[in-house]
Amino acid sequence: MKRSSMVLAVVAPVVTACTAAQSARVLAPGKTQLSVGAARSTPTGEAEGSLWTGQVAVRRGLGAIVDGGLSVQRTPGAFGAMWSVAVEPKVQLTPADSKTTLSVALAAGAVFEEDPDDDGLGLDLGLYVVAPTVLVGIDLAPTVELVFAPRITLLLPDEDNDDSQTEVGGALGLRFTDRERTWAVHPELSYLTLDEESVLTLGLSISAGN
Amino acid sequence: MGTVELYGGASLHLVDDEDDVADDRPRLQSLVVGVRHGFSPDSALGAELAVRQPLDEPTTFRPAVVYRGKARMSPRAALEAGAGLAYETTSSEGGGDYDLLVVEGQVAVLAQVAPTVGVQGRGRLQYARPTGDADGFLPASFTNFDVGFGVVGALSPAIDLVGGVDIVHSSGDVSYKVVSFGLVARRVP
Repeated sequence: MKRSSMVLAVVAPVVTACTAAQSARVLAPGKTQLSVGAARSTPTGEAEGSLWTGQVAVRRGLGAIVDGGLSVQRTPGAFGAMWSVAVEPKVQLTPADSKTTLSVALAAGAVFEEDPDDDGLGLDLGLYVVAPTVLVGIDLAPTVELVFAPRITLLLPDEDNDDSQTEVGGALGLRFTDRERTWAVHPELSYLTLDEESVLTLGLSISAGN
Repeated sequence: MGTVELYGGASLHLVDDEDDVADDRPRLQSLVVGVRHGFSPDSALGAELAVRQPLDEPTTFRPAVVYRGKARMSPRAALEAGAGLAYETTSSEGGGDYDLLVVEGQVAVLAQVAPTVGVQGRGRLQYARPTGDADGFLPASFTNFDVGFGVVGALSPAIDLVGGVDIVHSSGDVSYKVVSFGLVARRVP
């Protein structure tokens, strides 16, 4: 798979923002949260530059131990932008009243490049991303949760002649919220290893819900 | 009869270490003034005029009509969505003038973290089409996106102070951020 440093930097937030920047707890049935966030990804090796991505995501409680999320990401600006869309169901494995929460999630998404021309908007599919993730949440206080989210990332190119890749990474975040968990401010640091580079991502997400 | 709000603000270019051309960009990025009428506590229709790079070329004038709707999810959390229609006119003595018709949508999440202080995450997606002659340097249509974070402080029941940082461009080589601040003054009959 041919990858520029920019694509390298985009791949990390695609999964990062989808699977993390969230509580390890699932939302109760009928509860909905909307999140807006931004993250800056920087290659840690020889590649230069860094890339920002913005994200809008919605998550809804689907059952006693299951919730689901949908996220859309895009690089800021007008031309040559990267888009991603991902869905992510999450299952909570520990009791709802546990102070340490263990959940598993499976994010699946696609990355597009926007290429407008004289005919109008163009959107080229670049690759698919699948990311099984474990989320561990520890209540440091009634309104503060430490979230650790190790994950495996599968990068599946759209082109048949490109190779798929399996990468590992993880995220560490602090989720500040109110006692009713109707809002959250969630800073997060994540790391993703790639073949020739690794990407460090620092992000912030703000959530509001019922 | 509803609420009438007057608002105004400015945004400044924020220097980015990785941006080699940052020093060439005008510090004053834009000025905006507007008025909106609230039909209910949670919806308002307004008109605004923004001027981008008012002291430097190229200068863009951007009149717009905007709608805002708010859904209060809890006593301390809210979602705000908006839509707007704008006509942008960009001109420069050096040429390269063009006009754009812009349709935009906005979403913001609001968290009331203290009695008089709220924080927000916000994103705005625009769809633009050049009108007339764009000298062939613009595509037939394109989208634009910015994302950022803001703080809203209530100075009094009638006046809010707002501020924030928005990332308006990032391509891997260049990232471009602006700091904005403004005042909102309202009159409740």
